[in-house]
Order: sequence, then structure tokens, then C-alpha cells
Amino acid sequence: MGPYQGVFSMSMKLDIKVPTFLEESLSSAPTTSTSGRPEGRPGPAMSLQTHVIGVEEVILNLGKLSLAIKYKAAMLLSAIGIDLLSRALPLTPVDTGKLREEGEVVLQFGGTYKVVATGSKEGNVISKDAEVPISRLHAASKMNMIVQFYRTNEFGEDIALWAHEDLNYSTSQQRPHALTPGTGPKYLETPWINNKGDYVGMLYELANLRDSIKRATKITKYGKSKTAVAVITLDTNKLLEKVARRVR
Amino acid sequence: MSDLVASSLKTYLDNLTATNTICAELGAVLTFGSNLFIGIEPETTNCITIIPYGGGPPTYDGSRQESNLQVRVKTSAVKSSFEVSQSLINTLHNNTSICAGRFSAIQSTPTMLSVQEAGDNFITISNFSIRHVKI
Repeated sequence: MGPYQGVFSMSMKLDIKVPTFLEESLSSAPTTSTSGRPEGRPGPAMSLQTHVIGVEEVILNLGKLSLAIKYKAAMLLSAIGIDLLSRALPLTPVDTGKLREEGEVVLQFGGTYKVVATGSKEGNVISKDAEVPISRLHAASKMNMIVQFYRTNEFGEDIALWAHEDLNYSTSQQRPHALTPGTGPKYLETPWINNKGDYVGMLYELANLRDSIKRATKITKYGKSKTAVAVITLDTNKLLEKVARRVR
Repeated sequence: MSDLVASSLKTYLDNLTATNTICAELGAVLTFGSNLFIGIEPETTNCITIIPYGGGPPTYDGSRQESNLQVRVKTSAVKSSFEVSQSLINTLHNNTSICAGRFSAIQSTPTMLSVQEAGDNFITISNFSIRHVKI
């Protein structure tokens, strides 16, 4: 995506037509032309034209801002998902470590999805390529962030569900249970409940684009005094970079 | 808070009559210590166990608390296990007569958890969040 250069001005053309009856009355008036027109065919009684330049450019600029909002939403949702996974992994029961390794943060948008991060046996988050394809973002009308664990055993039993939901305390060695102190059921729900207020607070940041726009905007003035035209250059790459930096 | 809510729910279920849908689906009136338990599920079949677990943090002035409960249903038939759990969800969701808070089911349908004792028992669960605002 190259830098976008748009003219921030508007164009509007206003034509005022002369009513027919007036044209007829004018044509019957004495033919004294002062404008070089053929006699008997006078021109319009009044002509007013106003040019406001750049409506299309303004719309394009708004499109760039829409993209920036979507990009910021994707970045914020990814950050929330990674934070939630990083809090869930240390609580996740570990034996072979496969359940933790199957923990992942998925961002869904524009008819596609992207795995943003996965878990490790040690309880750390492994971030994947965080770059969100811009072309897909254009088409995205909504976005979902999913933090999930997926693990079944050799009998097809849903280990992730069982480990998360089986609250019944058991000392029986025949029944599987969390072996590591500090781990146990509700390993994902607990950090979500404890931090959902903070995550909602993070999403409020979505509306704050003023600083990013200011830093990605360049205003150049052409002409002098009353005829000056202000040209606003909105650099898309710079805008997205500022948005991403603010989220980080 | 969670423990108190669990006790309130135990009392509420203990007082249900045989015609109530929960008891009708289970095929028995609920009696604490016999087929109704708090905390740990016993070996007994056809029973309901209430297990509190961590909810959200209370507000700093203590005016708002949020408790969570899991209700486990263990029966010898998988169909009745689901039906009892679904009746619990239908009865308890949005219920304000159990305690000072409002019960809210986290899922609309129960979840099949596991099969125990070589397929003789079926366990389904349903989770509830209880919002309590101190007046």
C-alpha cells in the first residue's frame, strides 16, 4: 500500500436554469445585445457556478479512516486474546503438555481467520505473525476473537472440555485429575471473569484515533490569501503504523 | 458469597415438590444428603451436586458481587441426565427467589461431561452466574 495523497476539498456545481416564461418574455424584449450574442436569442438572465473541489477525495479519506478503525480493532482483539491466553496457560493442567500446546488465539474477519498465537507446554504464549492482511480487512463487516483449547484423547473424549468443566474433587488415581499444583478446572473461564472489565476498557481505546490521524496527516497550502487551497496528505502506511504502535 | 448461594440453592431444591419438573425428570424428590449434595459428588447414582467456583471480584465497596456455581447431574440414563439439567436451566435462569441475587445460566443447554463406572452413569453439567447487588 503506497502513501495516499488526496486533496481535501469539495466540488459542487450549481446551475440555475432560466424559467421558460422568462426566456419567452426576454425573447420578445427589444434586441439590444451587449454580449455579442445573436440578436433575438438572449442568454440566461442569471448564471451562478460554485466549485467545491474534492468530494471524492474526502470520501476516499474516510475510507482510509474506516480501514484504520478495522485495523485497530483487529490489533486490540489480538492483544486481548494473547493476554487472556497468557493468563490461562499457567492454570491449564499439564501432563504431556499437548492440551497447553493446543491453546490458541484465533482472529476471524472478512470470511477468513488467522491464528494469532498458540500455547507452549511450559505455559508461555508463542506469538505468530501478527500482520493482518489489509485486503481482507476491507471486506470485514465484523470481527471475532476466539481463545480456545482443543484436545481429544485416543478414545475421542474431549479432554479440553473435561479438564475445564470437571469441578468434582477426586483423590482416586483411576480418574484423571490435575497433577500440577496451581492448575485445574476453569483454567480459561477464571482469567476471563477476572479480567473482562479490563478488556472492555481496552476496547474503549478503539475510538481514540485522533493522535494517530494527526501524526499521519500532512497539510500543504497552495495559492495565496483568499484563493489558497489546503491539501491534506493522509499516509495510510503511517496511519496504520501509528495505530499499531498505540495498541502495543 | 458462593458458599452462601450454594446453600440457598440447596434449600430451594430441597423444598421442591414431586410435581416440579426437576423432580419429575429425576423421578424423586430432592433431599439433602440423600440425592442432593454440595461440594463433592458421591458414588450415589441419580443425584444432583452443587459445586461453587470462583466468580468475578467484588467491587471495592462490596456493593456488587458475582458468584458462580456448577450443578452436576448424575443419572443411570443419559436422557434423564440431560432432561434434569435442562429443567434446572429453565427453572433457575433469571430466578430471583433463591437468594438475594439473580441466577443467570451461562449456557442454554447442558454439557455432557463424562461417562463413569463403565457406562453405568452419565454426568451432565450446567453453569450459573449469580449477580448480587447489595441494597
